[in-house]
Amino acid sequence: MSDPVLDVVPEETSDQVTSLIEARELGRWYGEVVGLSDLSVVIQPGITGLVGPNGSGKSTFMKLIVGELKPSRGGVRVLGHQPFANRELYRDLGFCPQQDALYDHLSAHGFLAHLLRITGMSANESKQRAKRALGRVGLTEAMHRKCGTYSKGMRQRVRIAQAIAHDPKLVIFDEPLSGLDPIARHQIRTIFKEMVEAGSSLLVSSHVLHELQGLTDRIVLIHRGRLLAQGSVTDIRRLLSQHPRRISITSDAPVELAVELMRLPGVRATRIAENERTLTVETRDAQGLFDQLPAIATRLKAGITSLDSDDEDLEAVFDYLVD
Amino acid sequence: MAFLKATLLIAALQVRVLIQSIRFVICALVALVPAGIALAAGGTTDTEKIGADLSIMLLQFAAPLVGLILGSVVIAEEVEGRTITFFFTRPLHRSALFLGRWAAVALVGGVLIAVSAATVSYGSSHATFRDLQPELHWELQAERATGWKTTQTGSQSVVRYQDEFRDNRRKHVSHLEPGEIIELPMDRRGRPQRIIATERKPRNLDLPEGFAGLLMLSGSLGAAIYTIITAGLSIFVKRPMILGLAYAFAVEGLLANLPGSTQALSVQFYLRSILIDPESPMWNRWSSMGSEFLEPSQAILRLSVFGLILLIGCSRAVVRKQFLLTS
Repeated sequence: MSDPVLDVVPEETSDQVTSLIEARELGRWYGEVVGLSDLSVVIQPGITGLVGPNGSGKSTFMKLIVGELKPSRGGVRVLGHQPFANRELYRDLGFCPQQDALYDHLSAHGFLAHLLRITGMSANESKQRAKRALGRVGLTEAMHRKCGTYSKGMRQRVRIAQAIAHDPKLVIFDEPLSGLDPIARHQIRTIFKEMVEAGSSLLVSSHVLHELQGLTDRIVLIHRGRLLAQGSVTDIRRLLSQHPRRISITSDAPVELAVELMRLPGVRATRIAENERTLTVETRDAQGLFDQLPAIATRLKAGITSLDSDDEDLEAVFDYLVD
Repeated sequence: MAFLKATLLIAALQVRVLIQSIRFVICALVALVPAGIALAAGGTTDTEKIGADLSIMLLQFAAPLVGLILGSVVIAEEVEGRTITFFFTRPLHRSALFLGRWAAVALVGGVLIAVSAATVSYGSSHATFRDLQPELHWELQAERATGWKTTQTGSQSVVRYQDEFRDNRRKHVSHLEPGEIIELPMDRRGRPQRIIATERKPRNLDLPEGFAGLLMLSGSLGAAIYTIITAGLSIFVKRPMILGLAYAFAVEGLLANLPGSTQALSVQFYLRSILIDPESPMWNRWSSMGSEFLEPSQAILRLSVFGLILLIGCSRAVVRKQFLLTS
């Protein structure tokens, strides 16, 4: 495994006192399976995206942050606290887990009010906060329905609501946008921005980089349980763009199109599928191809009917970065 | 105080959630089994026998099963449903969460079993499809006459008996009332013979005094202990119900029913000690199993201490335990 590609992992300095999360040589394994290995990273206030392919260790890292697990080696401090079973920390921390788990026989409002009530809030305050949090995620009308009747997106929003209902300083979101429709995604992203404006900090994980684009400029890339890179989205995207990407094009003239595209800089190979209409192009300069493609297609009258990019295949990108 | 308040609050909320759940309905049905049998069959046979058998059924079947089903609510249900994260990432002491949820299931389980116990006690002695009107019995006061019986037809009763020479005799009498005396012919030596009519309830209609209270106490305590066992198991294993069932019905079933001192290693032994009075003929079958039962107060004390130690151990374990949830 190579060192992080973007060497922006900060050294220990006095300004780390203000850091939200500080992991040092953090490792966690499950029997012989390594979940996280030797991760050192400092996360500052604001929104930070935690990106990595499935199985990269994102969830393990988050479970260590929220104190659901103990490190096998190294350590992590969150808001200055050791997180495992730390009640002081949980007053300022919210966690939206990835797993689709809710109490199907309870209403969203009842569930949230219950959670808030057992932490010492009055019955009235619990209900008010539950109502407000559910309103923020757009579930006002459905909040008295049982969770078992909710769609996947609605269930995700309930989990987000429970994470923000007590107005925590730091909220950890494990794949919060997964399974949401575009409207709900926009709504949640708006909530995230409002939370940051109100002074909260967020750590948001995703296996899809572009989900976090526009939300934050700070990305932590992890892969195979290790920190791979940390930097701005622009830096990360530039890095990723150097990786050969496969683009599938369905066209009425795939052969002619393949010949023309091979002339573009960065295009390494083209292949026509058995259906004789789908062309797969492998290129190191995807953006250049996208820029040129409309003109070429018009000139050739290629009749392009679909265009698919493997942009979301982060697994391949990470493998490329590691190799 | 904050810990106690949090524990009570969690318990109160958990009770409300629990009684709306399917699990509660299942537990109620389980608890209903011995109670239903008592209501259906009680009084149709020997009251003490059915009372004893159903009590043991309650202690050995219903209380453990209700305890096991409800005990898994405390931790295992949350781990399996992957919802425990919602609680463990709150400013809440994990011990308070454990104890509060346990208190809720112990209360619900205890009440279910107590109601079942009360019904078993009532049903065994009272409920019947047979008319249990007091019956008239006749007591023969004679030295030689034997084999007598009476039949009653309308307002007439016929007393049949054999005299000292085995000769069948009969005497017609008018409708008998309690206390009425039927004077029979004197025997050959001139000794008086008589039959006295007495009113008597069917045999063993009443269970021993205090039986219902002891059964409710032992059953509820048993359910509470089994909830701790399951809740404790669920901290360490993923499928506590399987282990709990194996323990309650295989291990305990063997230990508690084999003659000898090994009985004292089972929860059932202490529950039976609370309930069973070795002096009472009602418990002849159970008190002759080769083990001397404890005094009820001793049994309650030892079981309570055992439960308390388990609770403290579980509360400490749940604070230290990492729960691995699969996505």
